[in-house]
Amino acid sequence: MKLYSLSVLYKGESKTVLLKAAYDVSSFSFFQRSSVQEFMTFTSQLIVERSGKGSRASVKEQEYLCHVYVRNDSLAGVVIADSEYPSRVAFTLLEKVLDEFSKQVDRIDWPTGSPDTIKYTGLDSHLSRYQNPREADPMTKVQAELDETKIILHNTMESIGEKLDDLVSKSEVLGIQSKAFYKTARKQNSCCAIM
Amino acid sequence: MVGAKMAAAAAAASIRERQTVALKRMLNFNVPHVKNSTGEPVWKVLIYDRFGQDIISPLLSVKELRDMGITLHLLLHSDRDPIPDVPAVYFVMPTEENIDRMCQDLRNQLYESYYLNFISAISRSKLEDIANAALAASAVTQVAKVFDQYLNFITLEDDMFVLCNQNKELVSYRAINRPDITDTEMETVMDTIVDSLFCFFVTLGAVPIIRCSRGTAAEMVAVKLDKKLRENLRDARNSLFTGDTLGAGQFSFQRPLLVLIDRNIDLATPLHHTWTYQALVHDVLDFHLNRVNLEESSGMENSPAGARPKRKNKKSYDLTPVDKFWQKHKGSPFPEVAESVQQELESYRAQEDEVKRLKSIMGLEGEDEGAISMLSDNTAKLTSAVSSLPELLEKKRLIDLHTNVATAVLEHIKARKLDVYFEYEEKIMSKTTLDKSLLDIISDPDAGTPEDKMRLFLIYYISAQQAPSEADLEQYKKALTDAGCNLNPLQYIKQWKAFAKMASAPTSYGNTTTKPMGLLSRVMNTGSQFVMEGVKNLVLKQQNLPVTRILDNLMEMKSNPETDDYRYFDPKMLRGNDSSVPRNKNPFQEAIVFVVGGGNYIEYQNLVDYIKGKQGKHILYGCSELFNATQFIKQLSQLGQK
Repeated sequence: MKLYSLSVLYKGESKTVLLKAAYDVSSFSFFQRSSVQEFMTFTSQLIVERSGKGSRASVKEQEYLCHVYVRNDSLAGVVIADSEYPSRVAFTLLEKVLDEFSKQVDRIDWPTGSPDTIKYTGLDSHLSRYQNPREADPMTKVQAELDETKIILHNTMESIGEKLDDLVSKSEVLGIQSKAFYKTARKQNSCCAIM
Repeated sequence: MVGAKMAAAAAAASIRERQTVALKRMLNFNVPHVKNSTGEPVWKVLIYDRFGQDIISPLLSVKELRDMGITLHLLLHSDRDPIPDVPAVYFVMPTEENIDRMCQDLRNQLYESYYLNFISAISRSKLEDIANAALAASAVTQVAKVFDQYLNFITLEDDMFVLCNQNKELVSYRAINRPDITDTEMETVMDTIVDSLFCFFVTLGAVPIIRCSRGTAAEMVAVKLDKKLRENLRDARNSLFTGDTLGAGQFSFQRPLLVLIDRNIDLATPLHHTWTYQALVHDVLDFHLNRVNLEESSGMENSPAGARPKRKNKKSYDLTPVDKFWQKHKGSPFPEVAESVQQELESYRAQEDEVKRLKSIMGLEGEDEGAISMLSDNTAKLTSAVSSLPELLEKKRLIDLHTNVATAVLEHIKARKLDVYFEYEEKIMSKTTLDKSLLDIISDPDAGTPEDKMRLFLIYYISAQQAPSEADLEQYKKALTDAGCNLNPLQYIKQWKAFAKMASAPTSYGNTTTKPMGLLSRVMNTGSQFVMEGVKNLVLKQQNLPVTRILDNLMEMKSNPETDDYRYFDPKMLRGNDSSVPRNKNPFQEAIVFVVGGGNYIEYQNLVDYIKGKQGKHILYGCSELFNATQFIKQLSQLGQK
């Protein structure tokens, strides 16, 4: 899975302006790199132009997936990735970047800005860190850990299960009805999700 | 002497001739070599490195070297005994290793005198190293001459050249197109290519007008070559393009056109199965720097223990300019070649019989009245028969050679059904309707090696207007894998096609001019050695490949969206900026087509066929490396690996 570009744009009334962009075109051959970069810039601008304010979308363009987030305040971000890259992480990245950008760059500079005039340097490092979604995104990491925990928990419950049965049937405290209820509940809840 | 020079220059730009002349001059102690000069040549030793060897061997035979006085020729990095009374001519690349060895030779006082020739220009610092070594060895007076020869390219035909052979991996298609290349590495690759091209134009004695496409490796070569030519022209003291080197006068009245083309505009042609003799030999046999290596199986050996398995003899043949059969038929469709060998054999047998008859008549001398009266008549006949014996022997040699080579080629055609592949691919490339399903051919266990099938599929994929659907593609991939193919080349071609679609207008294989090249007259009879049963008699249509089409546009100054925005460079113009507007509006008489990223004989033949009909026009074809489909697929496979 791969990220190719990350850009911040401003969706103006009449046109969309590119504010800052970072690219990773290292997987393309030497003479393709500048064309690919141009293509991505162009595509990013086009997509933002065609998206409404306050929207998120994922657009498939040939081999690439372009994820776009346009905020209500007209600040927009586009991530171009391959089709394997998880879209949830892409949107998390966009959210984060736009948040950071709006804190570092005055709103007043947005409508007339360009990559040369805008002073924001975080894009390159974000792009390179997010090449590996698991490392970069804590949520993904937790989710992955949870997945593992879930498995552990499940196994543990199952191994406990028999003992519980024994315990329940042997219990003299729980009434017969409770025991019956427990057995029925167990049957119905055979795939209980532990959350 | 001037007359000979004029004649040589007037003969149309044969790069082979020019490079040969330059080599002979070098071997003659850097004094122009004049044929038919009286007296023995001075005996000398020739020392070369592998680069030098590759340059000399297609141009000069061992006999020709001996005629120039070379009694001994040795590799630089070999153990060499001193021969103190003989001059030595060196012909090597100015690398550190080579310089060190040369200095060592000087210190060891190996030869009487030293003529040091560098294939491409030597740097000042390395020159000083040699000077110092000579000084230290008290051998300064023995270093007679030091020359930059500017011969860093290999000529294979009158009108075809390649850049190099030894270090071709450095400038291969893969080297130029792999993703993990740094800026400095790319600079080195480009500089290597430009150095050879510069040498080429110095040898040719002309400063070309340069055209190239934008955004490709070809453009980078164009920019650098323009700069290098420009700098050299402005350097009044050392300019290589004035006076002597131009030969008698300018290179015709007009300057030639150099078209720099990037391999990536056409990846189908290098994969194409072919039908003409030279291209076939290159495709299916081991053919390299004009030498073909055959493995022949000899018969079964009987020993007391029982029959031994067939032993394979290796035979090598040089396919040279003096091989009249080769020169006539190297571009001919294969069935025509087979037919012609048969005809040559019949004509040879008739002549051989004639000589035998005359010999036997002479044996009857004195016994037969009729024989005696025929004597004077026969003397004349016998004299002519005797004098034509060397010719006959040569004819026999060529017949044997081409019988063996053509037979080897035919075996491949029959075993792999190459005629089927050729025909089908031609249809794909010219967008004619296909009569058979592609899937059928791929799944057919009797037709072709896995590589043949991969070639066919790649050509289909490359030429398709619309990429096949996911489902169809999976089907093809499965069929290919079942047939034993490795899918890495496809992976690369997919990426290439996605990029090509994104970045530029599609190129088509067009069938702009389709004229049949004449039907082949006879079906092979069974008396012929070449039983072409089951092999189709295919007609070759004249159809311009992309490279030819681009050349045609630029040479004839035709307007075409494909070439209109090509860059234009004229190193002779004072202003450094290029413009896309050509200043010269007249069609060109001479052109050099150079493919950056590799080329092959199919393209070469297509250009030769194109220019044949045009009076007074000449084309030279060159490429950074020469590969056949097997070698090219290997590179694609490496590029497609994840």
